[in-house]
Amino acid sequence: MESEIVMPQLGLTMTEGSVNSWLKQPGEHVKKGEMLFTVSTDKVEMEVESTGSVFLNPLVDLNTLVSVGTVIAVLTDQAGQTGITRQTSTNGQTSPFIQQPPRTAESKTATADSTETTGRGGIPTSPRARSLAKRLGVNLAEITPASGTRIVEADVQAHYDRSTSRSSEPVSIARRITAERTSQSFERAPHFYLGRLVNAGKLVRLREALQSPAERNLGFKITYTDFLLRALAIALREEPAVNAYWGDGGVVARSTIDVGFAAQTEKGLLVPVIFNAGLLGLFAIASQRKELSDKAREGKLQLQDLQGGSATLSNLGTYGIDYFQAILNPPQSVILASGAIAKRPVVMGDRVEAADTLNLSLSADHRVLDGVAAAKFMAALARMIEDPLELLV
Amino acid sequence: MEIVATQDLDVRLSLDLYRGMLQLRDFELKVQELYRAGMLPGFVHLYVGEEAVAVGVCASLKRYDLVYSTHRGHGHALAKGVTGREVMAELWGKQTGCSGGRGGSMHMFAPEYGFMGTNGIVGGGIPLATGAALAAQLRNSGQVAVSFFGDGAVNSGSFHESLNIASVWNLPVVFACENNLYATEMAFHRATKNTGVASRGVAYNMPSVEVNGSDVHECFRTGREAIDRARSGGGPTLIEFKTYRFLGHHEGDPGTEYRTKDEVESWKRRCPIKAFRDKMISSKLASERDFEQIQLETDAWLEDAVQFSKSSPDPDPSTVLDFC
Amino acid sequence: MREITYGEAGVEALREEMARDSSIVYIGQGIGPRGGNFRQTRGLWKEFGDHRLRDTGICELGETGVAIGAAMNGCRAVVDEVFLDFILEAMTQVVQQAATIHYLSNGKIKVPVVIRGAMGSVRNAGAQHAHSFYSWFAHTPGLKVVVPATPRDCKGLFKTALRQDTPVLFIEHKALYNIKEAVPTEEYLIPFGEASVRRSGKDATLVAVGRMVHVALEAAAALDRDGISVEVIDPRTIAPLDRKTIVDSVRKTGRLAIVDEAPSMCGFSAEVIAFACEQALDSMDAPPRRICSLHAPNPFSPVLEDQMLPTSTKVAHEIRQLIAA
Repeated sequence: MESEIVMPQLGLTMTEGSVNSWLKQPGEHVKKGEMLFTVSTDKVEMEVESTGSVFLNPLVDLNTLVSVGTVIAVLTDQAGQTGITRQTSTNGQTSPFIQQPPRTAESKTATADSTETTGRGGIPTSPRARSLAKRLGVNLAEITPASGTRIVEADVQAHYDRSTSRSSEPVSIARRITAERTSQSFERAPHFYLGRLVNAGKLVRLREALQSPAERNLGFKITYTDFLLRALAIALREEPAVNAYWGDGGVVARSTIDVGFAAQTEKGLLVPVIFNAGLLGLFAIASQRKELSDKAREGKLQLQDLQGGSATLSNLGTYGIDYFQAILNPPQSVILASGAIAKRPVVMGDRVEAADTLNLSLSADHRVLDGVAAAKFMAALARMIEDPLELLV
Repeated sequence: MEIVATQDLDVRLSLDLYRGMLQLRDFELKVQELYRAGMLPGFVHLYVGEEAVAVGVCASLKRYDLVYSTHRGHGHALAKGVTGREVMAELWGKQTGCSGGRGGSMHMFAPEYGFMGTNGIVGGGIPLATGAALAAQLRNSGQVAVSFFGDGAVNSGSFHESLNIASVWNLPVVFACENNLYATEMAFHRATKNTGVASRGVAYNMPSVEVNGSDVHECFRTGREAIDRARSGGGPTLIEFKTYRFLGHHEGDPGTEYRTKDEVESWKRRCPIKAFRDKMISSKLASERDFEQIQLETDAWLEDAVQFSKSSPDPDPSTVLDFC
Repeated sequence: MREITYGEAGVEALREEMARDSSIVYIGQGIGPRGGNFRQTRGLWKEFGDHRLRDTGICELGETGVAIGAAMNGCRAVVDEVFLDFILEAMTQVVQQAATIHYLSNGKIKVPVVIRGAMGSVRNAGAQHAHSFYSWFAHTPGLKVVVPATPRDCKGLFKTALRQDTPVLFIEHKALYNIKEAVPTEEYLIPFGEASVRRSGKDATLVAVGRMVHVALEAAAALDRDGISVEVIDPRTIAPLDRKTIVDSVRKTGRLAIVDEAPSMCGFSAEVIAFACEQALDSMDAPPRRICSLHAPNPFSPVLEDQMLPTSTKVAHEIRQLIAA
């Protein structure tokens, strides 16, 4: 009896993943529930459990993107050969709930051969390209030829180089994913930007005042990020139009208020999300923030920690940045970029004085929001930061 | 015609000439029999009736002299000294044939006897013989080359160009035309306005002579003269042997569709072998006994050739690309 | 190293071999005192005389047959058709006799004859003086076919030809007699069956014969300026043919083209594509291409003949198509 291990669907939007490492040797016995391999998705690396029995040879190369549902290994209850051969093409769904990436009609008629004989839409493929694709385990159906008329060796090689970290300088999965996502976001969402300089004097004093209670109750220091996250959550409640995203050709409202924050780790940029931030008080938010940051640093974030989000906060204040504009985190419609709180010259009445100020910049998706809606949102944020006692209730 | 035996030929030589002709005759008739029985692949062109020419001419040749033959060449091969075994085995396509079974009737080669090939192309051997003579001249080897061909070749470019070259370079070659009056079904007088083959040699300033091809002594005398001329540096000769084939062009051609029965019969009556035997006996140069003895020996020789060939192995198929 | 012409290289080869081997006899029209229509035997008659260099009348059939016959009887014979086109008068001797005798005699008779002639178009010579049917001889079992493209190769290959025991077609190109190259004076032979990679490259393989080798090199130089790297291969002998060098090159570049002055139909270019596909189809990144003469007799008018013949411009264009395909 054999059972197939497929590239699992690890998240609603996941369409592809790559096996990072095998945690068992071929031929080794694996108990049900034991970890079998780790997977890299566009969000995270994960371990995946085995379904039992003896693990046979892997059918895909490491660090090679394959579609969700592709058979990547086989378990058998007796040691021996499997009739299942190495696959590079999409193998069809094993569960109706597994989301497949969009495919053209032609590629659905792919034969049971281990390599496609034509690429996307039946484009002829040179024998040399076919040989290389076979060697590298590349799915010809994924390739669009540079010439437009025939898939040649260079097309296969380029595709392979793009889809693996095997270019001349090794690129991490996270880097590649960030590159793809930010490109996508920048390309698709029409960004516009609003900036406000807010008076942070009261915020500075409030934070100081709360340090001891925070140490006592939470065991760690409270940060400006926490205040900003709380402000975002409240503002989202006040301006529900912002808690929506562009999807399926229209504006889709979100039912919960979840706020993410950008966390830079060794592996790259991650955006953990605090769920139902709208229902959490400041300290609760801080608690969540701390936990998620720690997990991020330790590489222990789960996929569910990274999903969703109504808005994201990106804070580069600690790096001395005065002002910057962030790229939207799809599919969110706003992202708040905050700089450093510092003493800057402000006009009070008719005089110029030094005061603590903070530069806020909001990037917004014009498909969902117009300028006024964004401005209102920004105004709410500004209000709560300048009078931060509101953030305590 | 009286044989001036003591001056021109001795009896022994005459009997050798007879033996030669008888071997050729019986050999060819045996080939006809075997062919009709389906034993031999390909096709065969039989020399029956023309024996006096081959035997008469070749009697004056040394082993190192060279003969270039035609598609009707079994007689030339045997007369030049290729063994009956090797010729018969070659017709059978066997490994022991003179060409290892690769040539058959029309591509028989036995250079060890100076036999440089029968030839499937009419006139194909004439330039080759001329070239062999050129080499003999250059190397001063003392060799003579003889080119046999039929009336069918004398209107071809091959013939003309070869005779021209041979004469201008004074080459040691004898051009021996066996005019049997027919080239396949084409009567010579219908193919050309000049039915005198020997007359063509005159055009090249070459010594040329007509000979009764049914008289082996005549053939011998004329052949010897030409060969001596060539060997001594006197250049080429064209000899026209007037002869006749009793059988068809090839085995399967009855030879009667383009020839009258009367004509064939009249030539058969002048059979060179029978005529010679009669002459020798009537001139008391040989007895019946002698001829019977020769017949017995010839029978044995032929039977040996047939048995040898029959029992010889076929060529090894894996050698098909050898010498290529 | 001194530079000599292609024609002079051939003469040098002949002189050396005729001095070395007294059995060599050379026959043809005008090859004696005149020194050959293309000066291809210049000076040799003075040195070797009437016996060894024999002028003939216009009788290619007779001459060629005589050369073959002489080769069968202990001479090493060379028959010079002068214009290879004239070999047609003698085809029966070449194909029916020379090519078959060694095989049919079960290896007993050697036929060391070299049949020499110049192929190809020069100065709008006209249809009957411009043929490039060298492939007919390669198509005939029993014949070796040599097609030198440079002076150095001409000398080395001619010497090798004059030492073979079976018939060789030694086919020069009329338009190459005056090209110059550095040629060694020391003894050297070039073996048959070894192609020459005239120019190394990695983007495409271009096989060329005779004068087309120079056309190919010209095209390759032009393409090089555009960053296209073409490997030019000169087979030097068509039979025996060095298929390995060509196949290795196709495996490397993935793209194959052939330029041939002969028409494409059933020619050498077809042979190259056939064996390249047989042995290296999986290495091909695009369908192979051929640049050949158009399928017509060579016209006289320069404008018409230019239209017909392969040129370096046409070759470069086809290679660009090959790369883009």
